[in-house]
Amino acid sequence: MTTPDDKRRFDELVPFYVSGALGAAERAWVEAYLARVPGARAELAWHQALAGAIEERVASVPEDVGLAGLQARLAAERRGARPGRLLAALERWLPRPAVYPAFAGAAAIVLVQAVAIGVLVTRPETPVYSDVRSLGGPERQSYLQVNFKPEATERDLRLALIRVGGRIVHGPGQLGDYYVVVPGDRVEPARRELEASGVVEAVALVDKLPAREE
Amino acid sequence: MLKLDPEAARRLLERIAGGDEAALAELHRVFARRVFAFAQARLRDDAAAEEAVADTFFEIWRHARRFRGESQPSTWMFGIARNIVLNKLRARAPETDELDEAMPTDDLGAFDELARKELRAGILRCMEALSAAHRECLYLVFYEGLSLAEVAALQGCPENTVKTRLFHARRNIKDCLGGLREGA
Repeated sequence: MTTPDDKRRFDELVPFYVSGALGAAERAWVEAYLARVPGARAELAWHQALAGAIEERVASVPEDVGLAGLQARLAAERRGARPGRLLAALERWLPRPAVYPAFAGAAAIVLVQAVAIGVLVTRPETPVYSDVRSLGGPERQSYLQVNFKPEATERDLRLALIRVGGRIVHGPGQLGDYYVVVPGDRVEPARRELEASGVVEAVALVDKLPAREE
Repeated sequence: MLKLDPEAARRLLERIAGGDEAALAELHRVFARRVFAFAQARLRDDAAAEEAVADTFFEIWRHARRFRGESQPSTWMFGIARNIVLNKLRARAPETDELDEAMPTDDLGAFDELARKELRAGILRCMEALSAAHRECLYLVFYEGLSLAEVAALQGCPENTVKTRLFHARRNIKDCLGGLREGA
């Protein structure tokens, strides 16, 4: 006899049975179900067709896909034309000049200013500041390490940052983490506000940026 | 599909971390199509997906030494690709991704009427109508052969969400195939 729970379990397991990702016990359970339930084999065949269709589609992609673009990036890097990480992060935040040509000039100025401000803000031990501090050594800069939800749009990110008066100074890293600075007295309220914003997956207070690797 | 065993991938990443461009080319040869298919599932745009491939391998080139061997190399590389794809999506106008669509009927027998080849073509056509998250989920399960837990980790969601995505994705494809058959 087959119960609705059996059917539900079969439905959950059959994709992983087809892909070969099941352990021995679950595989045996699926095989027993296939042997005793009429129609289950048709369902299996359908899933195999689905897997076959996806495989066919990938097989039609040329092996060198993206290679020219990669080589261009490597060549630019060799020429020293690779933008800095901060610059690259800011670039992603600006509209593309090709799309908005009239905006390109203004955007470039904003970009340069933002980079200059970013560099100043993210260097906590500049000689100017260390000269005037008399006690306790240089102040530590606090950052909010923010992971936005995958479904958050660029607009969501902008609005969330505007609300807390934050500015990205680093990222995104490979795990999607952005480092944001906010005015000193606003760090904790900003952290709470971002946490409650609905577009943020995680936010943490950190006192340094990730180490550069190169 | 071209497969790269994890140990070989680790060795390639070590060489890449040491600045070996030949190792990068080798990794690209065996992995680029998979990254493209993964990116295309989300972006629905071949040119953007190709750009995502180049960006992904360039990031791998720049950050290979960050790979500590705590996960499978492919999972680490897909993590990079996914982040790049999400950034591209954010730069676009908001996408209207449907999530939980209407429940269609459970008419499996109808698909027996389609020849195998037509069925595959129909499936691909119907996959285009799925939400990006659903397509990505199908790709990770059926092509990459990832486990439920691995898909959940990569998609950044609970395992139950992956189950729900799989359920709706398959239902929607079946429903769509039924529609194609009726329209034929």
